[in-house]
Amino acid sequence: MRTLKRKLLGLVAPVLLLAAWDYVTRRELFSPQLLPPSEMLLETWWDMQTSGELALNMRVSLCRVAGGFALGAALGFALGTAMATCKAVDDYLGPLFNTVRQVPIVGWLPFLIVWLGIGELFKVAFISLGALIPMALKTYEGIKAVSPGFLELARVFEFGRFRQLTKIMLPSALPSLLIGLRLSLSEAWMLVVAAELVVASVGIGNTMTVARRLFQTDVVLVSVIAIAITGYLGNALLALLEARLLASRRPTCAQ
Amino acid sequence: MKKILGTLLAVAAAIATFGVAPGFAADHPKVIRIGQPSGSYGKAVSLGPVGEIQVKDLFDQEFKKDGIKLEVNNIKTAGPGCNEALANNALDFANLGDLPAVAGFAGGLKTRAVAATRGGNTYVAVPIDSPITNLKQLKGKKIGVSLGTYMHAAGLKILADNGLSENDVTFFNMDNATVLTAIAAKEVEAAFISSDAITLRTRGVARVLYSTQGKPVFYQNAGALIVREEFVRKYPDIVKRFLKVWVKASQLHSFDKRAAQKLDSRVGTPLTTLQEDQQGQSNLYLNSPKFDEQWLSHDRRSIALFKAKRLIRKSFDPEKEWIDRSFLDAALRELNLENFWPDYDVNGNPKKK
Amino acid sequence: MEKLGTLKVNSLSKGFGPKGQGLKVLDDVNLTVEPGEFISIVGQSGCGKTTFLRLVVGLESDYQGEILLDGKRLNGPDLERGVVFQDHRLLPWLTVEKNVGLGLKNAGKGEARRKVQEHIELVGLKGYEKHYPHQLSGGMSQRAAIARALVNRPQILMLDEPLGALDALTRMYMHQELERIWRQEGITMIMVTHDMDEAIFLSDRVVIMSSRPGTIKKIMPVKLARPRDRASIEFARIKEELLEEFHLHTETPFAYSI
Repeated sequence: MRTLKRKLLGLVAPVLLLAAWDYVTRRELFSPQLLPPSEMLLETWWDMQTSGELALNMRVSLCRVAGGFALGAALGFALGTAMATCKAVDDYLGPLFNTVRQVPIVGWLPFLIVWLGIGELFKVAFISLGALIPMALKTYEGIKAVSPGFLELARVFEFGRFRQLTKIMLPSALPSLLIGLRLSLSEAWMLVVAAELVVASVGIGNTMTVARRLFQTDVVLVSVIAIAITGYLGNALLALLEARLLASRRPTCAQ
Repeated sequence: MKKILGTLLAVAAAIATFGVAPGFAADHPKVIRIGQPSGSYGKAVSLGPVGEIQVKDLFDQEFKKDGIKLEVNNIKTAGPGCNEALANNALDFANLGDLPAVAGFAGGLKTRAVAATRGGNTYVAVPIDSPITNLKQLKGKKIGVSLGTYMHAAGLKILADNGLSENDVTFFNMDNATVLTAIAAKEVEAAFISSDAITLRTRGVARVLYSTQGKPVFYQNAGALIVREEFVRKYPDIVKRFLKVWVKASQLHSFDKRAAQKLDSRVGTPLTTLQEDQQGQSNLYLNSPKFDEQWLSHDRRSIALFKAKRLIRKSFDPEKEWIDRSFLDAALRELNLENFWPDYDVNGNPKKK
Repeated sequence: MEKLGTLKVNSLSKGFGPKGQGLKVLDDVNLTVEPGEFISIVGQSGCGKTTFLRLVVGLESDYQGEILLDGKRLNGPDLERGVVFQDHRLLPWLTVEKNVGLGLKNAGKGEARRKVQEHIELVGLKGYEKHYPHQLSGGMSQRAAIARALVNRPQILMLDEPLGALDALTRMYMHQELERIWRQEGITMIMVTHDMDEAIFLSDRVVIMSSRPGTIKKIMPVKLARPRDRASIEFARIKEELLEEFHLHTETPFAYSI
């Protein structure tokens, strides 16, 4: 009952925002191209939905996100684990990693385009680069934050490196890993739009570019909303996974 | 907290009362802002009537006595960029190609078309060593184009003639300057571009596969000088006087083709390119501001095509909803130029009187 | 020849800092623990009793002297020596059952399950197999930790203030339990504590350490019949003797050395 109440509270801001929007557009405080009225949006959404335009473009973008996210998160996990558990890897790659991650991912765009062209390879590489960084960082932090007491336990039980990693470090780092996953996913979702805004022929980012070029503000806005909702759903899905995985844990008093 | 809320309310009220950009009802503005798609070379000078206005000091002759200045904005993002600037009241006039002018109005931009513009071929260029030899081979290819410009519109027509639709190719949106480098760097397999194609060919980096030169006039650009409706409402007299300047400039640009091309080449396009591009075209036709049969049929056919291709979501009747001839007619009358330009028929031939 | 499972510590010294040459924590500690014996080590904070225990477990290295089990020099942690820490260190993401089985080695699946179950029953946690650590009380958590340390059947169980965090009543109850387990398993237990009652109640011998550097001040045998009665005069007398070593006299019989 209480959680339902709290969930409903999250709807207050969007509803207020919609009401304000409706008021503003009805009074024509802004020109309709700057802020399309809500019924126009609904109409446009319906049009894009029935024509299959929205579904097609979202599907293409989602496939890119899935590819880039899977690759980036997997590599980020491997890199983070290697750096956190092997001092040599940390010494060799740590400074490079920490330098590279200072560069906003979008800054890599021109380079990636020169190296990989403007096709799918470029997009997936770009997205996975963005997804890799938070995942690597959170994996590294999670493992580094493992309680020294648990590591002693591993020594007492004569765990090898592998068992120490799988029995102690990774389960202990799980909450951090899940945060990494969530950050990775939202980064991937942002970057697919960025990549498609720059060069693409299909995808929701491209829909926005074309619509912007053709002065279809309503289409741009419908796309933005579709992106937001999909992103929210993706995040909610991971949150659900997180809740399930962490259900048995609660902060223990003695640690 | 209350203070902040109060301020916000006051600002909201101010916006509600005065509109987004508070403009005070005066009989004339301090500055008239015109937007023009910039060329591929990034020079801060303009071609066509705007170029004439700048070089021949036509604007100041008309408006200096009122202290009104002209501000020319060369917009790199071309026609679509001009539309965005118009939407947030950063421009008053804009000289746009057919697709951006129509798309802006269909998209809800409150504008009036006050003079016709025309001319502008579209070329299909491919990298110099491309295996592509005819337009049908464009199927499945990556094509660079500045989306939302007249070249985009012409490209759709060219594809359709060859049994292709926009879904058979992959468009990559790039500004004009980027298209040129992309073709040279072979990042795209073809491009729909302006007469810059000739320059690329001369430099030995591209081949011209096709051009709208000598094709029916529907394949060429037919744009418009447009003005914000609000500006018309506030300053009808200023619009009328500006049209006088515009018509005078159009006339000057119509006299000597070579001189006109020389002026246009200031933007960076080589003179030889302009000469080749406009070969066989009447200078009078290229500079006529009249909404004649040719222009109107071009516009109507374009609107139908754009609607069918979903480039616009709402169709409209240009004659009834968009064009306002009163200022142009007044200017022509006042300058006694009513018969300087012939009326052209749907095929672009001068109509016999 | 000593009996199997004899722990022998000869002139053990340990310093922290560069190469163990810095601050000396232990100085010339000598102790022999017979198999099956219950030894308590008491002393003020900083007397090195925990360091001593960690050295025997194998969690600390770089020492001078010898630590021998059956005459063999110890080299790192070993399943022969189990350990129970003050914080129970149960893994919060595992059930009691899984926690107890965590360190189990060289056992087939069925055998593992049987051993785990056996030890859960030994510490009296039957019925709590599927519980997570956060669902257990402090005492239950320490029982689980003890089961986990015993599951590999070590020769020696090291206990580092295992009941320090529990309330007084639970602690007393746990004393009885610990004694029962010790008797039932018949293994050596070495416990670090600062609770005198606990030491006297459980130990065969109480090792008293003094600080800076940590040395063994006295080893006091407790020759009382088990189970011991905390209220008995003998108990009180031994306690008094013990407290005297810390210059704490009977005016404050229940004071702990902090």
